[in-house]
Amino acid sequence: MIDEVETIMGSGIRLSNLLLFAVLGEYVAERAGTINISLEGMMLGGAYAAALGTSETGSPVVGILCGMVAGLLVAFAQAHLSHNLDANQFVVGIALSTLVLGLTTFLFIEIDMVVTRIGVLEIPLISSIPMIGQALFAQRWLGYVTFGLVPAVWWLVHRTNWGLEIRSVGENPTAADASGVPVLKRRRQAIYLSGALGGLSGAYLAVSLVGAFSQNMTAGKGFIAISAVLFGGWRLKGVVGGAILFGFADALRVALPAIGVKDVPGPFLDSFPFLLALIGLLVFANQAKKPAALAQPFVRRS
Amino acid sequence: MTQTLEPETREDPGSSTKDVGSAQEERKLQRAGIQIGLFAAFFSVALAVSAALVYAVGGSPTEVLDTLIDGSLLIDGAWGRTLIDTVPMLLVAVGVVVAFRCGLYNIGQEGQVAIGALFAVVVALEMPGPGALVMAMALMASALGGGLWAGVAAGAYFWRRVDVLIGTLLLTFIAPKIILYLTSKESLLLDVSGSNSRRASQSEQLSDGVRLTEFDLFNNTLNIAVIGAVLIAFVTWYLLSRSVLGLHIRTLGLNERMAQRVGVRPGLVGGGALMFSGATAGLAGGVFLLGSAFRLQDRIANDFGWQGLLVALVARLNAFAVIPVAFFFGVTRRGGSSLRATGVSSTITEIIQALFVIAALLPAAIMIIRDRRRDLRLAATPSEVTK
Repeated sequence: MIDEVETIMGSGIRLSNLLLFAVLGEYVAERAGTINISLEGMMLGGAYAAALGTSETGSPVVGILCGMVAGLLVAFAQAHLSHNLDANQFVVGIALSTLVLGLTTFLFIEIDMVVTRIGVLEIPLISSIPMIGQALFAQRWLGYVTFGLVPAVWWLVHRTNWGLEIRSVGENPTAADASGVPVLKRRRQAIYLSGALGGLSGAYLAVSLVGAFSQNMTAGKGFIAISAVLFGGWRLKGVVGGAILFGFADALRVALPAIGVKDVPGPFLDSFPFLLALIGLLVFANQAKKPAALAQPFVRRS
Repeated sequence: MTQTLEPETREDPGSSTKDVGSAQEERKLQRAGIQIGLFAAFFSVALAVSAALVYAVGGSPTEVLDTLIDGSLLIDGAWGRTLIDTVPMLLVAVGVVVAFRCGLYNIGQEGQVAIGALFAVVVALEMPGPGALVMAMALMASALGGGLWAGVAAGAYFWRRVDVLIGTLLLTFIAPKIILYLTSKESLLLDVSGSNSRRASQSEQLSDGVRLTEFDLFNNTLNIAVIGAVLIAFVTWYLLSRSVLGLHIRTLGLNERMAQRVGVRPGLVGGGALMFSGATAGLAGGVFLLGSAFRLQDRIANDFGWQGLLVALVARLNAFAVIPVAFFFGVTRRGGSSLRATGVSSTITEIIQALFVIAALLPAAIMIIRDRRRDLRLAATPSEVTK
């Protein structure tokens, strides 16, 4: 019994971490008023670049940095097309995600990669706590970054001037603009942050979770991450909770067959995270806390 | 697409002089000219980037282009097959235009195509009767299936305000899993005939009688869906741009509150538009099943949904322009499948398609910025306007 719980916990924490990186960035982007659909592309691009970087240099750290840069590149395109050239943010997101999928598939076929996974870092004593110890405190080291990242994002969004401006351009860009906040610039910066974290999430997938790159390996996890932000009602606690919930839902797919539960049909397990996200949105959708200017382009009027 | 509605910024502050009419006419022409020039320039850049990519992986761009055109248009029977491949994308794109114009970002066509095919296969396999009748019923069922699948997202939106974009997208990931489940159970849709001795997850093959009627034209084989899809595109274009219903749909897309003021019921019109877009996507699945695939499996949608979505975006949400754009996508798709001989991955066609979406976005965006700059200039120096 304990073994089985540990299997589910381990798998759940790993997949939650994967979502958390992406979700935290998306949270900031949405608070600033952008539904960042290109997140899927940022993650996939990050995974590809991380695998390639690791394979070329032999160093996973360089790979992770490459992944973040790839995410940033996608973010740069998304930000400037939607909050500078004023193109529709959804259309840009769809186009960029498709483009990254095409590019990574196209270039992947041409290159053989050898990806070194990053090492496991076991924290003595607390890693031997039953059930949760191994899952939480004997991770590959990148997983620990989320422990610090959640408070860091909270501090950034809720305790700094920059964060106040981010929230204000998502709620009332006209008022923010009138009081001198550079609306489009802040929105772009929020997308950059989302891109760096999305790329990091992809890198985590490639060099920590799997240790390889495969075609379309994110398989919709970016969209699950976006759902987690909506599910969490655009509040950090809810958003983090959503990431953990959907991470564990995803983990059941891997963990249930591993612990010997074979009655649940595979197709159901595969679609479970998506089904849960949909039902979660239906039941818990809380529009009251939605940033008022979410997904609305900002145009200054005289 | 709210940024296209900026009447007050387009208005010329100095419209009191008499020759304003002809001046505006001239400016309109000039604007159209600039925009066409920008389109041509950006599409060329997109093609150049794709060519550079081919070159980067050691391929020959000219050879790839030749193969694309040979494989999709020039070899025997090729353009007929290209047209047949174009139809599902055209149908999907027509639906996308209606939904997006209504402000409802349905991007789950890939799933709606799959569910449409599922509904079609059930009717085609189970319904007794003459083949032509079964075929017609199967096509109607496919439209119904796609419409209902989009209807789930419509219900979630109008009842609980679950974002359409996310709702349709999540449903897209669920749809193929339903089909996988149904086609892997012997008691359900799994093909148990001798030809499927490995028990691969797929349905029985459709009998010849229920397949789409085909006909020959200039040595190419076409099916009736080619004509049907073009008709649907025309009718949709007409209704959207010329009818009251179309006006209501477009008004709703621009401003929900204003639409309500003029008597549009968002749930009815919006839900209807969303379900219509699902129905055309479902029909695309039915057409592909009855005309090309002939059996159901979980990958039935075969990217038709995603590519149809991109078609509508490249066509700038114009129900008329989707016809040539869908044909262009058909050419890249069909031609892409013969690329293997050149040693370049057929994924290059997907890259071209995505780049074209971005290229199509830019001219309008640049025009808007240009207008805004001009307006700011005019606002700063109002005396110059009247000269």
